[in-house]
Amino acid sequence: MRHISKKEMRPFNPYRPFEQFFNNELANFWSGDNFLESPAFNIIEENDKYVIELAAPGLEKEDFNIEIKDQILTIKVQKQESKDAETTDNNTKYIKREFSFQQFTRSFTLDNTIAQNEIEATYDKGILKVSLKKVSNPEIIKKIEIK
Amino acid sequence: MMVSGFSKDDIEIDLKEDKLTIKGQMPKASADTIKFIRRGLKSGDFEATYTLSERIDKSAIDAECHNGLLRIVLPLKEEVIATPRKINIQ
Repeated sequence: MRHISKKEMRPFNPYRPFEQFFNNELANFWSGDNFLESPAFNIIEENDKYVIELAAPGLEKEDFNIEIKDQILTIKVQKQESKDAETTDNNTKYIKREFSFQQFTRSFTLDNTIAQNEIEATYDKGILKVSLKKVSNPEIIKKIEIK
Repeated sequence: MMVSGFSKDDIEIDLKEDKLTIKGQMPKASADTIKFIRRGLKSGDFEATYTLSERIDKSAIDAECHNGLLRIVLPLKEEVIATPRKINIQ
């Protein structure tokens, strides 16, 4: 019988590159919901923060709803007007349509290395930037006592 | 057209005969020390060329760029809109 290592048993995970980067103590830091129609994103690490860059052109900053609940950061856009425009304006017809970011949700799981009350967001040139400040002294190593 | 990260000044649109070329030049990133943990966004310059139909009024092409979305309006020639084309049955 062939021994299957733990690594081989893991299902395909497109986020593995940075999961590896984070190593054991930070492995659960990010885990994005993999929505096929969601916009592409970058995650950048700077000295004192992480930055999520999300490409969602053609929106206004009011269209975004960003929430944190139970250590999950959720970016949501729910725009109704494009659908209305398609149905009410008979002159508009898409011959080729490769993108639409009128409705999407993207979630990221944050761990305790992020200062959750110091999250900022900007929207410029079609890119939403969410800055997540690092906690200066994170208690990332949880001690477990031997009973 | 998605042009996330580009402002209107970074984009050049040229019309030469029936070829419409759109070029985008990304401003150079200031910090070399940026460390990408995940890189899903395309970056860098781009160029796209489209051949326009004769039915398009080339003198009335208009473009606008807002929040990473480039919209180029290519109006049809008036005679195309006004004159219905008759197709004979052979």
